Amino acid sequence: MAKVQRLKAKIIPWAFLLPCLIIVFSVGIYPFYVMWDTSLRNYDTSDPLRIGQRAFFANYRAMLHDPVFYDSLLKTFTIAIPALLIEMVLGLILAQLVNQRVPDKYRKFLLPLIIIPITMAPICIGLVWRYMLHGDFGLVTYVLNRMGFFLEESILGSRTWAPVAIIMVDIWQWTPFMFLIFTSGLLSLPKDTYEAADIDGASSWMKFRYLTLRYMKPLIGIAVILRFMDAMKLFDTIYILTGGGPSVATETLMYYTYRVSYIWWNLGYGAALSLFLYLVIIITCEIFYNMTTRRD
Amino acid sequence: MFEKSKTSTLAGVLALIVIGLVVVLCAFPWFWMFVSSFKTQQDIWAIPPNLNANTLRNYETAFGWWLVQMGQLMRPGFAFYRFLINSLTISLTATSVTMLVGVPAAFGFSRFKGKFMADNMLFFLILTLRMAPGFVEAIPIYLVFSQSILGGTAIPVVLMHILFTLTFVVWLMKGFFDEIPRDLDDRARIDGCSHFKTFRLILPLVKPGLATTAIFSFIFSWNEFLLTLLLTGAETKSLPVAISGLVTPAGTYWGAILASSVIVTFPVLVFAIIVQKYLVRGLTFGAVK
Amino acid sequence: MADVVLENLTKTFKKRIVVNKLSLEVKDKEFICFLGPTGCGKTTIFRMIAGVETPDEGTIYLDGSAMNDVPPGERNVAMVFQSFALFPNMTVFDNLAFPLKVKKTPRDEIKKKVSEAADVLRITHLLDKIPAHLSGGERQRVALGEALVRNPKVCLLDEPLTNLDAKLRAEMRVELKRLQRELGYTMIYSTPDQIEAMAMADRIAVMNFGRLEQFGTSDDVYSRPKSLFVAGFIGSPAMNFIDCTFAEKDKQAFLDTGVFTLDVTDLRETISKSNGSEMILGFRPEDVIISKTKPDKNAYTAKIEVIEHLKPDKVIDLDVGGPVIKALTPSAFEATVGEKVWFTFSKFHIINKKTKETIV
Repeated sequence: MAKVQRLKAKIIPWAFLLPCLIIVFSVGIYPFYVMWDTSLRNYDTSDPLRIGQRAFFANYRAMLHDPVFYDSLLKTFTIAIPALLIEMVLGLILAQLVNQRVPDKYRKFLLPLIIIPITMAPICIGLVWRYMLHGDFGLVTYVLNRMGFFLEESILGSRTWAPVAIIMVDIWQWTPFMFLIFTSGLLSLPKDTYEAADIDGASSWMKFRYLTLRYMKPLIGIAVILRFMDAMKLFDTIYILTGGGPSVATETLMYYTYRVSYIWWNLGYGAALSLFLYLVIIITCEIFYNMTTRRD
Repeated sequence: MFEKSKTSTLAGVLALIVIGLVVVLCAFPWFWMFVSSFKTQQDIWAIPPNLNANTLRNYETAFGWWLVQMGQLMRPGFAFYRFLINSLTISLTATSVTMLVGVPAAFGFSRFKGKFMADNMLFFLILTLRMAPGFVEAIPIYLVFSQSILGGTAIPVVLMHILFTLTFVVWLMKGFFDEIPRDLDDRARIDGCSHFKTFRLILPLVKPGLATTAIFSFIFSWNEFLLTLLLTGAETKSLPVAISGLVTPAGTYWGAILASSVIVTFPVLVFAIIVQKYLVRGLTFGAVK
Repeated sequence: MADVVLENLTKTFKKRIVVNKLSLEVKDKEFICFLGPTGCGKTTIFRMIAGVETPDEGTIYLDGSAMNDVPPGERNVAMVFQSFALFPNMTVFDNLAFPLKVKKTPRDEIKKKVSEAADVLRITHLLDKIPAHLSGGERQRVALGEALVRNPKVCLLDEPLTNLDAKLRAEMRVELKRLQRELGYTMIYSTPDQIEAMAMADRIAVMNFGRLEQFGTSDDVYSRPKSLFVAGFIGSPAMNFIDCTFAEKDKQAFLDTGVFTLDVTDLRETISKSNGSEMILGFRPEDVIISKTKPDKNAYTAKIEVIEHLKPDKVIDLDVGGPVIKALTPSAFEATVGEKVWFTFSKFHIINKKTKETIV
């Protein structure tokens, strides 16, 4: 009887966790292994006889020699990083402004409007912007034309402007996210250090730079990591706004992987690409995490 | 840090203008979409763009099967009511299962910290799942299920949604459980409750957390695109995937797109306002309170 | 019979020994108190006795039977928490009835027991309220009520009065003692406040970082402290300590403090038995006698540094030529800062500096 009790005590935690762990391992970990295995096999449709056979690291070697791969990696960063930085800065400025200038009672009305972009399904966001950026009848195009900016092709059809459009849409979609995070951070700042700074005669800018930014650093870190993770995986908006185009101008690694896996059906190579992307995300998040939690 | 005295200065007015501009910018596209969904085809394509919202035709086209006008059968609609039901089914099932499985798990992580092997590692594992590009999980699942009879159903998608929302539910609910003092657990156990009964006792105390987590899970599943695209077919696809299908090489059915988008986005907006208080917490996976 | 025996109880959390080979016996109907600074392991011990924490080593006996493998619900032990642990979503009645409901007691019996307990604690008028609407003292009594309702063998109270204001605390102290005597429970209490412990407990267990330093009556721990920690913890103002060296010359023995010497020839044998010559001399402020004129031998000079007026006494800080000691004198004693006086002490302890054990 005594032994049973002690055994029971050890088992109980697992009883709570078991269903969750079963799902995580079977639907999450096991597929990861399958994916790894797939990346070691050949699914190149140009060689139909060898489909499914072991190809060792052929896919990875192909990846390292594939110019499109490097290009897509570059595109990923050129879209994700500017978007992220601008979102962060705008979000911070907006949070600071609202926190300082808008009395509490009006904030309730602001919030539902500001969060619209983050609640909309990304595909719908893509669609409405596609509508607004349409070369012929888009609202944005019309306004730009009236202001004197003309483009031979449409915005989404231009090699230079399409990526910009993607970045803009991403900024539109996620700045409110940064705004929310920073607002909640600003609300929990300790007031006494600011009062001490006032007594010492610090200017607004100095207070911002030395106090606000310092207190907000962990929050900024979290926001950046979360947003970066998702920015690297950006898909829905690219899919519906540009389909990776015009002619791969907006084809990020994620989209390229989609094209390889789902359209060319080269699952092996696609698997290699996905796993590489996964690795990049994990490593960069780890770096960000260390950067923001180690400093003072 | 509200400094009332500065509102009257130029800087204050400028700030308010900027804020107002930003708010309008954020809200405008949705309203544009909403208004345009009531336009006729010509108005949708009109240059300059106008605000003539006067017809429900787009909604009929998107959701109806056959259009009947003046007793005559017109061109067929897209019957999106099927996909609306699909979306509801997928999201409700995924959310229910995730909550059923994730809440006890979160309780376990919260209460038994340090008392069983490798609990930190497991927690971290759940985090890394969040980082994975959808393909890593979706393609193997597709491969496995396409062979079996279950391939035609929505089960693969639901499983995927469950996986991704699980990480979220566990993390978020753990935070909520952590806020309930352990003394209550101890007290219940000393009074004679088993661990499970204690769990059932603590649950009512985290009701707002449960509601918030369920709503966020639903929103995630409802809005989800990539996984659903990869794992559903013509019969099982969700509303977002179906809408994307309206952009064809033959032409784009803007009217139906706008109408269905309104239907897809509106409930989420309502839900988000309901969970306003916990919005930041939910979006950052509980990392920020 | 409801006695409690703890044998060699040990608990470690992540390489930190929280409870270190604790052994003691509590007799039936005894009111004992665990006294020690916060974080010394009192709560952990309680949790082990109650059963929500399993000891790494050692056994717990309740009424003669080993309890290590008995689940908390079946040990018939009640615990009152520092934070009261009331369910915020239940009324007072439901909170009190809770343990009975779990044991599936019939409804009318529940009602009877709850109203009995409510009467004893004078909270009958609060039965329909929820904890959020109660004051600290009222919540405290509800927490007590939950314990009473169960008619337990042993009642554990973990710093129950710490969250109350001073006046309420004094009232509740008396009330708890009275209840214990009336109802005859074996009560195990914990507190960091030594005045509370001295006032309430039959015996006190003084704890320091998981180790039991001494277990005895209030008189035991006050007059015969077993270790440096107990000597310094009990008593307010705290005991004075001066480092000294033990030296033997011819047939005489001395304790040399560096500023004065104490003749301890009659204690020579006892002192020389213990290891080493580094000692600590300890004496209580209340045992220090100050006089303006030189008394007979064994008195030393000192200069008054600070005078604290704590009616009905005065606490005087005396500079003895380096170390500063505190003396407790009646208020009537006239003193001025800077004055030179003579002092002696009527009682003292000698503690071995290395082992921290009291020799005399």
